[in-house]
Amino acid sequence: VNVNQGIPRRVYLNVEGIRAAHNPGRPYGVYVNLPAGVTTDAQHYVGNLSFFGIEHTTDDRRDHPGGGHGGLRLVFDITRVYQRLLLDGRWSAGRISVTFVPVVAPVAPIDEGAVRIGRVSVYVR
Amino acid sequence: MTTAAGPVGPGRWRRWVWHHPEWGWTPLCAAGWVVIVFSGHAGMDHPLALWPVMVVATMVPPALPMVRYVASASRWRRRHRSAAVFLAGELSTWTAAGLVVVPAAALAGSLPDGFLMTVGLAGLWELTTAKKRFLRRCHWTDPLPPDGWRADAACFRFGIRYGRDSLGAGWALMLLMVVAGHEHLVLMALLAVIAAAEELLAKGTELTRAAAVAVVGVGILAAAAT
Repeated sequence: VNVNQGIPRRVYLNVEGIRAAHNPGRPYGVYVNLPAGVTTDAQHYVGNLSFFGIEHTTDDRRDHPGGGHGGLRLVFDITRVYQRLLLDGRWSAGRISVTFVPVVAPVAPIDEGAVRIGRVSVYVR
Repeated sequence: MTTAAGPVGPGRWRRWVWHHPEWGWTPLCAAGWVVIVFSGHAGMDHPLALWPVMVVATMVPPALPMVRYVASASRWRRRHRSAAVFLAGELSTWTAAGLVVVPAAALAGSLPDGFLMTVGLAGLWELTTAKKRFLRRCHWTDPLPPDGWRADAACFRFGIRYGRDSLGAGWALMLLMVVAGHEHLVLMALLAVIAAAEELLAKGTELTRAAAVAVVGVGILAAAAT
């Protein structure tokens, strides 16, 4: 996505198709264009990815509020982060990296592969 | 006095078409129904030949929300292509199922009480847990890449997956439609409405008991009328 074609009014980071058989037990911080070797940086932080209720989104045995769409979907408004990174020259043209960092250290070994993310995309308007 | 002429935006109708690309596929369903009705009059009603037409006429309407999702998840210039590839996946699944459903319908039609047995089977399937599970899965969406051959492949895979779940939910109704044939066009239309309502409504799973009663009731009436 080349968001440098004009100045967008709003920029959204869309994380969809998040599926897991069970809750991995800890949230993840979501960062865009995090520099290499850096694990957290408030300038690049866009929000948290929580898995609360994820096991119900792919449960076809009963009805759930919201209907269930076969996975979680989260949308982050990253307009301010985008504007800041653009002003600082840290928004590379047409290339965006998204990093998921555990918010807290695991208290027990966690199967990271248990969570799958279907698509990460950026919407501008 | 002068008036400032601002930029003229797209009209209401144009915006509606942009927001609802799925409605562009409804003429295909209408054409399918026209073929179904008139093929009976023309004597061209071989079930195997008519099966793909029945599939288009009855299984595209329940898929319209998914067509809209696929179109809106794609790049603007290829939204119609993505929708077409998705529908190709769904309809090819249903078309392939005809190789089983049509002979099964022929077998049922050859039995003395085959029609009533098929009515009972369709009514019973409405009451099963499996039917509800398939219906719920019909509301699931798959993430799609926005562009390129990966988008085509994902749209086709999504179409096949959706078609499989739709087939699981609606095979018994379709079997009854084939058995009913042109003799019971009203029953066929009613079954198509039931299949569409169950998939289109958010709580379609709550309709299955009423659908079972309607299928059995109208099926018995249709059998008595002939």
